[in-house]
Amino acid sequence: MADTLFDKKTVKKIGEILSKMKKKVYVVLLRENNDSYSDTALKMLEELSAINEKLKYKIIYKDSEESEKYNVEVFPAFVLENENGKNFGVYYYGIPAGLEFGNFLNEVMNFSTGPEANLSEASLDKLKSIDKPIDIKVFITPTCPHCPKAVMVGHNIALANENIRTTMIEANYFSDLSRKYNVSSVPQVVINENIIFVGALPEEEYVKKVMEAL
Amino acid sequence: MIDFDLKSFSENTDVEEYDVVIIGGGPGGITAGIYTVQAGLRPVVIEKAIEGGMMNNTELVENWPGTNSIRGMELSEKMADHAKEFGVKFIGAEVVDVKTKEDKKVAILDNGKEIKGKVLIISTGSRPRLLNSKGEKEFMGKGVSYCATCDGHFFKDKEIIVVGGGNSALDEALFLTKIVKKITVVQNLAYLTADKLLQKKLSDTGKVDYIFSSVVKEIKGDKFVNKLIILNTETNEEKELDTEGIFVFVGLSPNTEFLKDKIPLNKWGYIEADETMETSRKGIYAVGDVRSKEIRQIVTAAADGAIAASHAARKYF
Repeated sequence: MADTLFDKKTVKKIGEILSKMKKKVYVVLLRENNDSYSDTALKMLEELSAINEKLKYKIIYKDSEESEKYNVEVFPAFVLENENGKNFGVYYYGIPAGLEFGNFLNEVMNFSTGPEANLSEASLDKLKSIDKPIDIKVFITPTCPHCPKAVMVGHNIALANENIRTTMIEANYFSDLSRKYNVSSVPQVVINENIIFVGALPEEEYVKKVMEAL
Repeated sequence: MIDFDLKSFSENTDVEEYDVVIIGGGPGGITAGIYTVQAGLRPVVIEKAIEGGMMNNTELVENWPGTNSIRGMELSEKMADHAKEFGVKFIGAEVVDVKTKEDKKVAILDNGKEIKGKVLIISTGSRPRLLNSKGEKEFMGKGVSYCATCDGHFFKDKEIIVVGGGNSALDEALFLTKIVKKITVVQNLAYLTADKLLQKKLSDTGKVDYIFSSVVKEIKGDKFVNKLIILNTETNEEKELDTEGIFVFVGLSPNTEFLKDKIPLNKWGYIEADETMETSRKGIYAVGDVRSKEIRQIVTAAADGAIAASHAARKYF
């Protein structure tokens, strides 16, 4: 048998977490042919789905008609969808591995019960008013302790308004994209190409940056 | 190899009241949590980043008894798992304010929630201190970094500078030797202050040069950092070093901004506490790096946590 990505101990812990899933959650994997990193992404989803069948996945190949609908720049990418296949703008470029993995499970659990934007009333009020597209890129590395917070708040902001999409980007793997945005410290957040900041800001300041991008 | 770490998972909890509220999930906060459970009380640990805190930035921990050598991230995970198995609750959020006057202390989170407790243990630790030199802020995130494990891979095969000569500087430099081509360590004193064993390990890599008795005057660059101007404090000579990246590890700065005007801080921002770890405010304790003290180590932070939790359990419950 081939080696598994998750060892027995981790499988047990993941099982305990996922056992509280209420509704089905779909992870859409957008992948390339003949790409070992895409293979690893698929293996991760296969293993997770085997732990709890409420966690489902769909595979979509690059250059397919379906793929265009998701409008991703690089592969593999993950998009979270609820049981009805609704896309809320929660994206990942690359595998949410390392320290990001725990937060990925936070978000799966959120989708299995909602999803709900876990933000303060004040933040929700501000974000509600946004009526044009906002694109938030969160560059991370899997070994960065402050990065999951930046992704978590960013994804919750996406959940607050359908016009907002937030993408976690594995900056080591997608080095061309990192170079394009001059990333040398993570987390680096880029909002609509013009607002850039480094570090995991607390929610109120993060939301302020989003509003500045309008 | 790809690995998966569960530390950033935090179970959703609607409970807003605990016996002991611990702010900060490093070794001090985690140990306080474990001892609080052992005393029959209900603790919660509120952590803004990753359980284990600054331990996660340490490549190898070699002075935690019982483990000869362990990655900081792994020790963090083991400690957090231990606490969780004992029933310590964790919340992933940043505390932006506290109410300390009432009988029940309140921690206000950045997501708007409020967490109450009879006793507050502050274990928010510290973060890397800035150089406060010209050009530093301008090039932050443009080649000036404070976290080797986070950003090291962006400097693959490059020639970089590490500023600092203490344990954290040399530990992070040692990690960076696996990625970069060459490191120049710039130290303000005439000698390194890091442990001798660590000094030897770093020198043995053959990738490191040292410049002593020199302070940073300015960081320069174009779009990205490319020069470090240093001043030799003995000869008063200025020198310009070409570089492709600068990592700064020149000591620590306490995470106490949110406590200003709430509890007394010393002039450097650290919290003063007595030998029981209690501050001058009743029911508020300070443990670990955030406390005013001489030695800041994982083992001393853990000791602080044990003392605070045990004392609080006896005095207030």
